[in-house]
Amino acid sequence: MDVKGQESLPASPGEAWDLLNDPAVLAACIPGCKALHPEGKGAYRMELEIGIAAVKGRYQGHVEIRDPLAPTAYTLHIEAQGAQGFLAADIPIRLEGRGEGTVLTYDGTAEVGGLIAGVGQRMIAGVARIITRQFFDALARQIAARPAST
Amino acid sequence: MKPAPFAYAAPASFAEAQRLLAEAGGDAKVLAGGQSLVPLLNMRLARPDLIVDINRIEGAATITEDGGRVRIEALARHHMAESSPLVTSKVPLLAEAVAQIGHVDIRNRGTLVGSVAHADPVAEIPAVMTALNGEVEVLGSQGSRLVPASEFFVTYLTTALAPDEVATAILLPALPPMTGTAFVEFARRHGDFAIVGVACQISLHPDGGIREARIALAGVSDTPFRARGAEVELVSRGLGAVPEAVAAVREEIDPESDIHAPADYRRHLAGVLAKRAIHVAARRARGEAA
Amino acid sequence: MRAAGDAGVSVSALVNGRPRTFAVEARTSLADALRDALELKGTHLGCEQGVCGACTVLLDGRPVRSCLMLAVQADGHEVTTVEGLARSGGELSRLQESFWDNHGFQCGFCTPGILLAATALLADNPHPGEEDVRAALSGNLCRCTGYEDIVRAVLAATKE
Repeated sequence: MDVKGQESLPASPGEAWDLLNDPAVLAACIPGCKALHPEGKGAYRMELEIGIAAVKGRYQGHVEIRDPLAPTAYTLHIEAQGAQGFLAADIPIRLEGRGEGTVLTYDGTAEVGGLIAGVGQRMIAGVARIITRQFFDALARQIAARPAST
Repeated sequence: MKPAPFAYAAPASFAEAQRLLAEAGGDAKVLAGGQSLVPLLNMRLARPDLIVDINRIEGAATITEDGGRVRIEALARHHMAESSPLVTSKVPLLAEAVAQIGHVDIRNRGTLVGSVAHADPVAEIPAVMTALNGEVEVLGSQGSRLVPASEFFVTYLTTALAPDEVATAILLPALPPMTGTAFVEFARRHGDFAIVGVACQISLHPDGGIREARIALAGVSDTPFRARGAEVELVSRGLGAVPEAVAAVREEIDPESDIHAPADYRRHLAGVLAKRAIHVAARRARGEAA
Repeated sequence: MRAAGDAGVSVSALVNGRPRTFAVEARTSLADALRDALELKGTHLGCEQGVCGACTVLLDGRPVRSCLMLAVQADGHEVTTVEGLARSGGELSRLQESFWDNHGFQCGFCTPGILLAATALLADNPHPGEEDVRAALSGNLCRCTGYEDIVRAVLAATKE
């Protein structure tokens, strides 16, 4: 499925870049992230517990920041597997300064497979939107919590 | 496909059920009809530590009239509503919707309150609750409260129920005079989940103008969708504005694509079904056979 | 708080007219209990999701998906499986005879569920039309027959 959209972030591109590459920020923003361990440059091993209402599952996987061009562009690569299914996503991300903030544009694809995708077909795209929204709401909270820069 | 192990309790009262839910701290699920929950358990998509089976609670299956509203308790099965003279006469929209749920087997066990608590956005009863702005009676640690449908459905499979709360009844307004209803849905096979469903109620002025229109759609959003733009078209301009109402439905909704149907198809289908539902409801409001 | 886990339950039900008592895990479905604890293998499992109808049994005379019921929920109730349709001398029911005469089954996997659904239909409506039969059986999938002979067999059973 497509994973695309645009967000306005109240931070400069440089600040946004630093946040999106900070594993502590990623761990706080990725919904259901239970653990994020560095595995080399820009790569992390990840444990997730994620779902909707009673339908929750544990997944193990990787997050990678690929093809970084600081502070403008990179591709977010996510892979995760669990008993309920698997996910693979490649999401190119662009950051553009606009006024005092940054416009973040993402335009990529995600594949969900296994039991959760078969049984949950009717809801997968919608739930993916919800999870993406949760990520950006958490990111906005991270930005708001930063001490004011000089 | 067998469920993961769980502890099991069959309380004798809703108060006890609520207490068990509170003690489980979010790791318990209520079992009523089981037609939605047990498949999730069987596939291990849900793995609660505790199942609280409310089927042993006595006297909790009634369908009664309560001050202009029909009250349906937690253990009333779909087939009971289908054949209830009270539901057929006072909430015909619900009777017509329930008859279209799944198959006979499902209707023999599934409960109306359970369908509402499960909150599948494609389900029939949540759409009826949304169209009529019914209420859900919820028992929590602070006692009992009524939640209107407009606040009850939050997103996919998610409601205003806290983990320690149990839905004990639903209440729906009785049919006003000069009013007709229609529930239409489309699925590829008889008994499949609907691709789109429309719940519609039209009330007329004595002169034939539209006094009130209520239209809710299943399957076009993460909750039932109230097509308020379409309703406004009908009330302000009457039945001549059905094309505008249909256009409004298509304009307002933002359906997802999935393997069952692309978004454009759902959008188109929503308009087609809305048009049918509006016409049938209006004919019934005039007392004509539809 | 993790609960103690599945401690097991005791179930007492009237199964095909006989009182039966058995112990199972709480998570055991009625279908599995019938097949394993009571050795009644006629109830078949096709999907365990409630969509195929192969597991249909009668609970207090009404058709239900036994894969979607916990066995413990049958406690205190009456269950009829396909084994309960023939009369006590082994004589087939009118409906079973009609399926035999009208080639109403091939591999037989769906047949118990279909027989029970049809039995419930005829108890409720002794003279259904073809549409009534098709509607009553719409929740039972058959991969072999194409349903024509099944419908014919049910309708034939209503004629004297």
